Amino acid sequence: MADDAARDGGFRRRFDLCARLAFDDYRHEWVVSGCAVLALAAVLIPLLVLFGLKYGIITNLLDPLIENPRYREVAPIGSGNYESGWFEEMRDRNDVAFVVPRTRSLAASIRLRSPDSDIGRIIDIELIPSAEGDPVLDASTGVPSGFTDVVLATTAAEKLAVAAGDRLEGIVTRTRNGRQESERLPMTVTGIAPITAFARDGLFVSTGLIAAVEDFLDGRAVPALDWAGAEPRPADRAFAGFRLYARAIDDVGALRRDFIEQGIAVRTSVADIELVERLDRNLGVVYWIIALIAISGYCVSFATSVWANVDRKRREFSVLRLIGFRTREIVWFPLLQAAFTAAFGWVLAVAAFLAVQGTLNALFAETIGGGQPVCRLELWHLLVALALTLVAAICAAIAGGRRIAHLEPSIGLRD
Amino acid sequence: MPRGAKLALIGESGSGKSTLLELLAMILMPTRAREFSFSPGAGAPVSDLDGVWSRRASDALSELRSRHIGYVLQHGGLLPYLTVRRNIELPRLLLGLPVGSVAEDLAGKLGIAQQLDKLPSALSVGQRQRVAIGRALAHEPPIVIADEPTAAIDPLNARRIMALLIDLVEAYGLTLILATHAHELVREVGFTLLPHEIEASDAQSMTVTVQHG
Repeated sequence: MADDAARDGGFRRRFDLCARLAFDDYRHEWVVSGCAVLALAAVLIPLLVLFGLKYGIITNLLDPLIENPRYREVAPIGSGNYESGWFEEMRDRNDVAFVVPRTRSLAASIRLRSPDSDIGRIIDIELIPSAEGDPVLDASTGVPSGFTDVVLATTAAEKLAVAAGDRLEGIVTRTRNGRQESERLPMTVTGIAPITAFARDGLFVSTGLIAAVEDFLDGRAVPALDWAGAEPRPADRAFAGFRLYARAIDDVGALRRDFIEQGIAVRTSVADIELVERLDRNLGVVYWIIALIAISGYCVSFATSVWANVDRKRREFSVLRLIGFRTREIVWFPLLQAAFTAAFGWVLAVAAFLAVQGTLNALFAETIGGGQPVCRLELWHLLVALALTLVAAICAAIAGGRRIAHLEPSIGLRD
Repeated sequence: MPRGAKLALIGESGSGKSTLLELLAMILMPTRAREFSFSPGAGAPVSDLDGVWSRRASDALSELRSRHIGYVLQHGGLLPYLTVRRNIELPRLLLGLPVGSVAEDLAGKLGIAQQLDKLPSALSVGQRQRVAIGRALAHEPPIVIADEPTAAIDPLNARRIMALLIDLVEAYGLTLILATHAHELVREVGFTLLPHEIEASDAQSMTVTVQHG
């Protein structure tokens, strides 16, 4: 038992000794080692560059889809009847980032003028229901709320020559009992929505404001704004539509299927998303076929060189055993040296990859990358490449290790 | 065999001296053996090598070799990637013994103190054999086995190196088993000759009979 304990305690020391000897041997034979490192890098560099190109191109296609919330929108076709409970349900879903009700399937509009501007222009503008967390707006635009705080789309802001903080005046006009009636609604621009958020003239407002405008146009009274008219609509109303955005582009497909099951026809960008995803999958298959062929070829060539090396060095291995190294400790030698080759080969390949990547990006970013790099890898890709290289090299070296294990210690001593 | 004895195997080349030494050093597995046991010293346990071999427990053999045997090969057998110093220290490092100034001391006695930080490739054949002797003795094994350690060296140098080996073995009180064909040299320094019969029955097998003296 004490002997066992001593043996366990010595394992670390003996392993360290083997590792040092293996490295000294590796360094001493630097020409052979250098060739092995170059051979590995020669296989690894094109694989890294190919993967970098695939990743770069797919990223360039996917990034706009991920960044632009438009691709995550699920818009109803035609009008339906959605109770407030349905909206609660949608808000609770993990795959829904944002949902607000629409009063009508067609957007309501309002006449808008800028009371402070010298231009004094008047435009008719589409009302877009919005709320806290609207994915097309951001922190700089503020949140449309109440009857006064609104966010103006870029084109409309240009036409009216207004900026964030300016006042606006909305004018709604209806014909009731043969008489034209009109109301004025003072508003404040909390911010200007980016052009990517909404390309036409649009005014992001709270659901409450849209409902008030719709009710007024329907001839009803709006008590909250002191607008007269027929009997006001009850508070618990149903809505004809919604503005809904999925959490991520991958959720769009599933949401679409759910809506179709509920009998709601929707318009999505699922076709665009699937096109890129299919391209990614197919390029991935092509890449891994190439990589598998290259890696297997390399493994066979590496395994034979390890085998030949073991044969060449069997006298040294016999000497080590004569000194008292155990068989399995000597098996560490080709395995550790394979790991050294993998590590150095990887370092060389990464350095070369970075150089090639820089050149490719400088040459092609403008022409085919749309200003984006065409070839790129994340740090974790490189670390996975290191792990795979280590595993492949060590597996290839196992054949050589087995050869050592089967050599009798006296073989080679009298050479 | 008493501790501190010096035993010589004398025979023509090809007569099986190396084979017997390799069997004794437990690096060659006998194809057949009636009885083969190893008792490293007074009080130490007897290892029944026949049993160990039949179980192919080569770790146990490595352990015995590492602790109890120092082996000098015919052609040095130094590790080309280690300096003289590290070649000599290696058996001690493997056993976890303190290294201290063992390499310097042995190199001083063997006349290779200037070569300590050179690689074996920078040494002459005679210097390499001196290093090999240093490595065999570094961990002070009870038994030193030397297989024609001076066969590849000119006679004058061979005599000097043999004398160094014997001096050191006597100084440390070790048992020496030596294979050689240098009869006169062996007689001078008081070796016991080990009577052994080797009969080669055919090309594949060989029978070694050692008579207990």
